Amino acid sequence: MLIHHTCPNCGADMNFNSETGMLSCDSCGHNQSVEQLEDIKLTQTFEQDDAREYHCENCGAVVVTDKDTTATSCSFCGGAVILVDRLSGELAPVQVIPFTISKEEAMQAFKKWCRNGRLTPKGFMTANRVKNITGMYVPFWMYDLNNDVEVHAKATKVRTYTSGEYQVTETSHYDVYRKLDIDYAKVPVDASEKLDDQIMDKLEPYNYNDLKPFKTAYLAGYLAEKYNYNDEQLYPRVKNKVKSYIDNYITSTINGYTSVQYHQKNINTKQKHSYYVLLPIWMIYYDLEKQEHNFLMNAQTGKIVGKPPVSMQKVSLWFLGLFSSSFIVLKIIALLLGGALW
Amino acid sequence: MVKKFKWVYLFLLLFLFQLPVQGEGKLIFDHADLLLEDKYSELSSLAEEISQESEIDIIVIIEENLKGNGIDIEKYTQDAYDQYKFGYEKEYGNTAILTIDLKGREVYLAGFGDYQKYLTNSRLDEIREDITPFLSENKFDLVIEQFIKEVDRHIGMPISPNNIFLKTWFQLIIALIIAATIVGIMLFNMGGKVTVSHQTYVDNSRIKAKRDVFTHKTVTRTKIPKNDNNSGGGGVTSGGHSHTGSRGSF
Repeated sequence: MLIHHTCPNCGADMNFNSETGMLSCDSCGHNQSVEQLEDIKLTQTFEQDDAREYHCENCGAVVVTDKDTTATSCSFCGGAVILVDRLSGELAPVQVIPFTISKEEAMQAFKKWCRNGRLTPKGFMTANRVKNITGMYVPFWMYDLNNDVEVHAKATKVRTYTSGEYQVTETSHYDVYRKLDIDYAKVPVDASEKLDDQIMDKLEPYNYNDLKPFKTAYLAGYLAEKYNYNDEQLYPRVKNKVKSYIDNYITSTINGYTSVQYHQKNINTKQKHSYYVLLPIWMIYYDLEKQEHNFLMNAQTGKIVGKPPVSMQKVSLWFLGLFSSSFIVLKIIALLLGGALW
Repeated sequence: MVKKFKWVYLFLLLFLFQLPVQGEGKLIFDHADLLLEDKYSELSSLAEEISQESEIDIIVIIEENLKGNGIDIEKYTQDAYDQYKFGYEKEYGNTAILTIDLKGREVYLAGFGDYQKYLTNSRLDEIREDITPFLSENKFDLVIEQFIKEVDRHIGMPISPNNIFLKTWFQLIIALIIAATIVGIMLFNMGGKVTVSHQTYVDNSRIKAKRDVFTHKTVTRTKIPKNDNNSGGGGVTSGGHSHTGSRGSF
């Protein structure tokens, strides 16, 4: 089932406005708060992998969708359509962070970012070759985790001093034990199979103050997808992700030693909650010398991630510049210390 | 043993008292008559010139046979300093002494006065290593010339002029490493980097139990290696003047 958000004043399509955080009508300028809208609650869930045909309620044209799409626009009339049966039941997101960066702002930010590319080719910095820019809600699972950690380690403190003709090395050995209790809240893991996990991890962090209870209206005018993996399937990934945080924390609790060797590290991670949320990104397709580059932007914070093209010329210039300047600095220091020029 | 030493001492003092007659400001004491007249004056004037320039007396003492007579070359050098009150423009001032024992095939280099900071034990070791090849070939004029020039090279240098840091090839390598590292980091971070950590998502963290139990202590002692080639380093003269030194055989 499709839903359109139509203007109660003039009946035109309404889209979500990232500046005001409200639904707005392009025709008459009417704004409508999202929080007050009643979402249509569907009890039936849609049939898995069913590439069903949807018909645009505005113009009757066939809305072509991918099996994962939950929000898109009608390719014929351009009206925002939301596939509500793919957002219901098990597939209903709990929360959403709405877009705060508009398409124009995203473009500006991207261009600015390109100009700052110290190793990117000249063309990349100046040309306006953004082929396409798409706002999309990416499905994420967020986990609240409790970690019981027990660590056994052997640590040493080393003291060296000279006594007469001898260099004395005194090593004190310690048995170190830590029992830690660590709670992590809302650790996100992206649940879309299309997006590269490593790139998605770089897009973090999102500011969770903007997490809102989900309403379909937030999706109006953007693309959105449903999750491909459920929270159980992604659990190993989140466990792996927090492992490095835990290691970090463990190290921070063992101080004052010269060396620490871990003998046993028992990490018992328990899932307290998991939430299905949608987080906003801008996808930017960029054409340069017939090569397409993809960039993702955190549509809440503006952080940009992606592999920009590398100019070998600039890399060599930087290298040469850094090489010669550090050589000159070293040479000056050497000269001050009384060294010869050659 | 003690008796024998006393004899040696008398003998040594006789030796030394001979010297001052030969004049003030003398820098090269060739007791073995090793150097030809013109070579001697040439090296003397070189020593004189560099001494003035570097504000340090550069003294060379060549002895026929110290070891054979039971005289320790280091002690001999110390006593020479005490006796002659060497020093640039003052008594017991800056002095570099090179003592050569011809028969004993030993050499001792010493630095006195404030300029010990330029003529440390290790730097004297470096100078000794520089002149040892000439010593082995019995080219004593070259030994003296090299010694004078090396002392000149070290005076006024906060670090040894042979320090690797002053070598151009070393500076090039360091510059290369710096440039490669920075460009490498730039390339690595081009596509954005992970900026989240424990801090980002931690809700609550506490240490429930913590033990740091001392179990035992291990102690290792290593003898501080003295420089090889039995160079004894410096010491203090009987007259109470401290000095640096480097001793070796050739």
